[in-house]
Amino acid sequence: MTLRARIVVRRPNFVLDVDIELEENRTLALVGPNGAGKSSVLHALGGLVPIDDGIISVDGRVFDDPTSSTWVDPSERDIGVVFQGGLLFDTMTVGENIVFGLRARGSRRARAVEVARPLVEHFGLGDLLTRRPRELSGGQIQRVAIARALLVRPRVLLLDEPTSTLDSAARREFRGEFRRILDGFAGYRILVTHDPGEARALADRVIVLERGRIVRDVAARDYSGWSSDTAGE
Amino acid sequence: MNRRGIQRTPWPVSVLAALAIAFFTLPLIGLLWRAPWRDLLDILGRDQVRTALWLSIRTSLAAAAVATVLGVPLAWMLARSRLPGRSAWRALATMSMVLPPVVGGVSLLSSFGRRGLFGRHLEDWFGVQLTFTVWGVILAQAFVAMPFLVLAVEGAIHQVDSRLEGAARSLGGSPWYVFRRITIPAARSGVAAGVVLAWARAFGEFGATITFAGNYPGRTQTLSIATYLALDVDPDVATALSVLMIAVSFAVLVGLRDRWLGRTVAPT
Repeated sequence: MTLRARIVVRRPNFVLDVDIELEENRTLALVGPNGAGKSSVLHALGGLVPIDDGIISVDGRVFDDPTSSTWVDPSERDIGVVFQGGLLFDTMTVGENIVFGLRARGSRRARAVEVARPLVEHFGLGDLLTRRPRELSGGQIQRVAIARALLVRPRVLLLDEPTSTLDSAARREFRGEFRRILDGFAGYRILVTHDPGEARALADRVIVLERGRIVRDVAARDYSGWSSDTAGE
Repeated sequence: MNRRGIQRTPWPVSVLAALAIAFFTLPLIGLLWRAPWRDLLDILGRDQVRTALWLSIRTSLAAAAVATVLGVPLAWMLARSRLPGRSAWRALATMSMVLPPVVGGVSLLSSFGRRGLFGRHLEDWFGVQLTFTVWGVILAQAFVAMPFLVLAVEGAIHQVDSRLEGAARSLGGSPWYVFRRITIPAARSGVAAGVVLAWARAFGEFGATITFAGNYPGRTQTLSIATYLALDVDPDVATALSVLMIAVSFAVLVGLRDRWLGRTVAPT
């Protein structure tokens, strides 16, 4: 079982051209400076940006292939995305945010709430369900965003700078929890981060992107900074 | 006014703004001064007036509903879709806003009138006649009012962070589900503002309505048409009706402004 992605996205001032292969139950960290194309990779995998060339497939199922005009709608890809900043829906309560994916797939409210209960308890969100996203702390927003993405049982979990809203102390504190979440997720895990320490601590493998291209692809323990001669952070 | 801050109002601005306020206020004062206060309740209690008021309320609400049902999707198309020639479509959709209302009425007659391009078939095939009926009033009002809604809602949808829609799509939401559950709720203050503006425009509509739907008491004679006609016969009645329309419009605008309209300007 593998995730294969050759992603080419052409923009007027930017070309993203990467080739990624990931085995099941592995965590890949994408690191690199701003504008390197990390988030674009996630968006292409999630189906929010169509690729101009290449192919994206998960477990042999093709999601996007311009040459054969194959395109699977984002809603049918089984890919859970935790967006930068959480991107919770302000017009809904925390509880409605968490069950959104099930409700969108046609589950009745009561059923969705029942299915969500173990996850809500696991993430300690029981007391927050009737709150609005704007009343939450950075850490709470991230937990809700992750629970929301996990509830639909995706095959792929994409996390875009999941700790960007936390201060550095909270970030380190959160690391252990993240590690447990990622390890407990059966499937493919891709994490975008600009924090080398986080990449080392959470991932098995690190890919460094610069200006839309892969410049390094190493085991996480061998990774020390963005590129061979810069020390990240 | 904060005299010490750098945001002091320049005096020419104050003077001209005060003139603008006077420009809006003086006609109101004139109207209130002329109003037949002693006979007001008597005039407003007359059958013809009550019928016209009730007709205006019903038709303007129906026109606002039509404008909302058709205008919100159109606004979304203009804001979000990759529709080719979007600005041309927008110009077309908002043209009736700048068109003289009577011209709107004439074009409605030539298309949906009894001998109009489509109207004749409506009559032949379905036995439906729009001109000189209450449906004609609603059609004329919606025609003139919808652009206000479309512009307000399109502006509001532009303000919605499109990444939220992407997040909802990746969670399994179909485009229609995301439209209903994410986009429109996030743009709700703009939608509400648009509905109120469209309703107000429909409530006061005169030119297109009288041209297309005529002036039949009880059927197509709205309050503004009744006001215009009364001006010739009994100016006191026209003034009394004007006071009534101002009262209704003012009450709605003041009642809703803080709840909805204000928020589109300064989201909290």
